[in-house]
Amino acid sequence: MAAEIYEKLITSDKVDLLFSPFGTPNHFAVVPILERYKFPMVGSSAASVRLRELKPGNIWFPTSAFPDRMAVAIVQLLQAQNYKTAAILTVQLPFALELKKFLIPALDQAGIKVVAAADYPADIKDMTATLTTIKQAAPAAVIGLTFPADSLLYMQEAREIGITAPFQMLSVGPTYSFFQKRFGANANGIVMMGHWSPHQTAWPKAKPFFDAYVAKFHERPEYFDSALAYMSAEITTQAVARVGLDHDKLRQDISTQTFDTINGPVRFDGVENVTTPTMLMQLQDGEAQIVWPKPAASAPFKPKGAWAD
Amino acid sequence: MNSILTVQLLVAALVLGALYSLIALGLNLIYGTMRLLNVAHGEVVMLGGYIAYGMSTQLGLNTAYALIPSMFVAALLGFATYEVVFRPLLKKEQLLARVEANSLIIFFGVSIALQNIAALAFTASPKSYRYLDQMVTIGGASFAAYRLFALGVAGAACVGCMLFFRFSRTGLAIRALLQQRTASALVGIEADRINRVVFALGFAMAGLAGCLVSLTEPISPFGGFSFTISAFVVIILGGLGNLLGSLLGGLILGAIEVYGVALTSSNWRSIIVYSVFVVMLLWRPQGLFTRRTT
Repeated sequence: MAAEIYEKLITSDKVDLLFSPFGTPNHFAVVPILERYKFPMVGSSAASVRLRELKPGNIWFPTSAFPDRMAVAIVQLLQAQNYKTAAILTVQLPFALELKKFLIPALDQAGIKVVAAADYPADIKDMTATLTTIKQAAPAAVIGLTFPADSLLYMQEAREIGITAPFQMLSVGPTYSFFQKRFGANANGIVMMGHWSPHQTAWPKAKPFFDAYVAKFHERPEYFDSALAYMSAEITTQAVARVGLDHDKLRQDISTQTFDTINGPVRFDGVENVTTPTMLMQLQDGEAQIVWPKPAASAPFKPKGAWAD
Repeated sequence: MNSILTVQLLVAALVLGALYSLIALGLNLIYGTMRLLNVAHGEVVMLGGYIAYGMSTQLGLNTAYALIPSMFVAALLGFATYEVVFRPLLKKEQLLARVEANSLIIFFGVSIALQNIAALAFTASPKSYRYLDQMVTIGGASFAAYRLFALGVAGAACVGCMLFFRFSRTGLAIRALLQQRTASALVGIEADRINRVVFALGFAMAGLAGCLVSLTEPISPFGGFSFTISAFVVIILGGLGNLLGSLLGGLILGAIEVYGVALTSSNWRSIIVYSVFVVMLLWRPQGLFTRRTT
């Protein structure tokens, strides 16, 4: 469906610019259309090593959460905490599966033993049996390569079953505004993907964006996808301001220039943002803090505490 | 085997099964009486979830107070859908023959419209809220109180519906329509009035289920489809038009999902569920609880 919509926007509606759809599968779908019509578009909530390897010339990903780089960051954080065992939960969606493909060898190489692993469909309604198996395996780290709905399922059932691993990660979900409201103090200690935080003072545009978003929508922005969507718009706007709407000039500008965003400076090499480090975040006292890598951290990592009754 | 026979898994299967039963009961009620396949049923579940979310977060009300409004708003939608869309269709002789096939397309349109209205009204971001978050211990296993609340309300609603169908005059008329639509008219049952009740009741059950689902899942405009699919599996298990079959089919599907994953792994969940669906269609297309007619 995304491909048809974007093709119609280009050929029938004859738009000057395109903003990206949501998620890796939709980005995958529109890349051939962008290539066919040589229409440059800055992506947002997506990243794929497979796409990077195809070297498309009309899409760029502002995220630094590419699966291969994210796998390395997760392993580095576990090593820094001296955790030796891990369990992996993977939702059967392209980004999570690609991340798992890089994570398992990276864990193996680091000497971190995978004591339990399970994949599950995106529409799963109960994880009791899977989480019971994980509890029995008693890993130091539970790495959930999740999306929002299964993140919520994990939280409610991990608490019931009593999973006490000091490292519990849910890749996509905890950065959504609903997560904090839903779980309160129990959400503290959960690690997630993300590389933007209003608490990082090195990025002068970060806090004003947060404040403006809250003023407009009366809730916090989603720290991963909302930030990426805004960055995508910032990059497009700055490129247009410099070179206008000519697609060849836009492609050249986006490929070579450095952009000033809410996530700090962004520059692309191929499709990839090469200035923003791959980061991990953690909910601490209700706030999403960057905890890895250390030079970019807004707070140190804290082991997940006990679940509240 | 000991790891299978736990209170934790039993309650998980019951909670899931009770929600499936409640959702499927509404879908089967409409299909059974009018042969209209409501593929927008999951979106009505989602609507109930948004009403509960709105009452809890915007009005600050206890979610228990959202149960009736969720049912009421969904029932109104059902009533309006019947009056505006299906009543005129059912009146026209030349359209009546095609109404079953056309209902799929019409409900598909309703489904897309509801999804996009919800996205405009509430944004596409998932929503969730907290209710009865304390832990309760049963038989040495811990459960969040909201899951037990969902089980209790869904169970009571299913039993209440079955009692209504068995003992009330309107309920008996609905069952008569389910069993013999033409003959029921001969004994004075006014099909048009009952159709209206069936639409309102079927949608109300989905709205109630949505209120309960909002306690266990985030609500999003496009999250209803998986419930429609699960409800289809349940009514194939229990039998098209068989209300008690829907109730039991829901519990069976809940058990298949929870114990199927426990005995294999979560990778197998969809394979198990849809294999059961296909096997049922081939082996007992009339469902587990409906006698084969000759």
